[in-house]
Amino acid sequence: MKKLVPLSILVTVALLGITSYFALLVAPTEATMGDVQRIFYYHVSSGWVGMLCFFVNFVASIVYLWKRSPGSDALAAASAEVGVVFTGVLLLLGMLWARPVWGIWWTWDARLTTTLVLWLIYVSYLVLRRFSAGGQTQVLAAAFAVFGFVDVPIVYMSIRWFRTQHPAPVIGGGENSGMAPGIAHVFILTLVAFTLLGAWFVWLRYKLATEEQALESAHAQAALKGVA
Amino acid sequence: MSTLTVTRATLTKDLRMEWRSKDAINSMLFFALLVVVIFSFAFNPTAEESRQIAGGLIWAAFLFATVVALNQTWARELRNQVLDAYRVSPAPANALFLAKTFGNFLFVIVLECLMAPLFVVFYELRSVGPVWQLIVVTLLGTWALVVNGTFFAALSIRTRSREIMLPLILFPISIPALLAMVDATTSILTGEASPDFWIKLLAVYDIVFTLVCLLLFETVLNAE
Amino acid sequence: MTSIMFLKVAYIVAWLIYLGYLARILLRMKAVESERAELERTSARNAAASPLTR
Repeated sequence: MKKLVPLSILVTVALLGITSYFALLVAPTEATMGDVQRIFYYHVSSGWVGMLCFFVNFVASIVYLWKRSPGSDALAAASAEVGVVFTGVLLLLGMLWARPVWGIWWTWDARLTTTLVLWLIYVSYLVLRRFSAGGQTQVLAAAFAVFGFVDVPIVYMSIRWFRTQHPAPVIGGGENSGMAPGIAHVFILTLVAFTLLGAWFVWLRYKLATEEQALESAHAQAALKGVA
Repeated sequence: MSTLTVTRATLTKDLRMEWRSKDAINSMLFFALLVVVIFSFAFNPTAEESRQIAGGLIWAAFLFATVVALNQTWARELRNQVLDAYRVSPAPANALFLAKTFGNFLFVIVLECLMAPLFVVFYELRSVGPVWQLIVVTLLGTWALVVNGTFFAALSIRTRSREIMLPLILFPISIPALLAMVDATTSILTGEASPDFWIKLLAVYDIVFTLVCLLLFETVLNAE
Repeated sequence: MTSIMFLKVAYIVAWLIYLGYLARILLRMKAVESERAELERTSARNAAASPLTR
């Protein structure tokens, strides 16, 4: 088990390095957008990891509400934070891609708006965690996480309908439709590399969360001993 | 001790106390009036334009007034340690939640009834679509805000800066409902589209989140 | 700004954010560990000094 840790770090870093090289230099240049399209590899992969993290947060929160194990709460906290980071990168990279290609930084089309709302929901989850006091944080946050995730399909449906009623320019449309084989291969590779990176981040953040939990109980213990 | 009895008892108690002091209703009313007036300075609509934007303005005003009402939902209970007493009693937690939610719902509906003529006057509103649809949207939309709001108000009382916490955690989750309310109201006022999908979405939202609230309220009440 | 500039900025921004976040986690880990060590030291001292453990 111990040997697995540095090995997997090595594999992740190597894979990221290789795929970035491929994404920037080896993959074929896209016909209409030119080289700027290469942002797409990082953009979509980051988004994929973000969504995966939010799903993990949902499952971990339910497990916490059911079992009340500190481990599941730590995982919920970790996955939400990593999810916000990766989704944030998705949004930023999307803006940096949209500007040269479509001339606008942002538009309220269905996909962008849904992503933004999701990001806002999980940021508010983190705010709730940060601002709640003491032992109740875990339960309150877990309950809120259930609300957040249940809202996801409703957000998606409502914004899609809104955009059907009031159409807006669709940016980045068709990026996944009919990918040339050269692009598709690099894309899948980047997806795998980013998933490993995301898993690593969640694991590290999870360790930090459990360490902080241990610290808190150590404080409590010391306070008890100190009274004696 | 049935849920219905406890709900009714708690609700009557709250309504009676509110009727005697009229704290919440007065502050909400004045706040909403101020918002209407300030928005009309900002937008200065003609009768034609006003129908396009009125939906958004009305619901923004109601949303802020709702938050004012929600913030004081649990304040009285906290002050007198009623929540602790409730935890210890055999009364079902959902009864307390339902009572609070119905109470808030009634307050906000009364507020909306008082505000509606003001909006009609200030923005020279006349609805092209049928008014009964507006009523349905208002009822469903208000419940959507109030059910999640009452639950999140219970969450936020245990946080620092609880007054600012409530809107921070309520607004993102309410976005689909707000979108539905605003677009449905605009569709009905202008008569340009059918609000049917929005009404269905609001109904789904209401059912789903009422269930989630009822499932989780007891957990949150007993969190310590 | 040429479009290639956007590409470079995008990759740099992505990596800055990831590495920055990584650094933040690692720094917090260090802080937690040193606080833990500090706690052990003071509680050991207290235990030695306390009449109950004598």
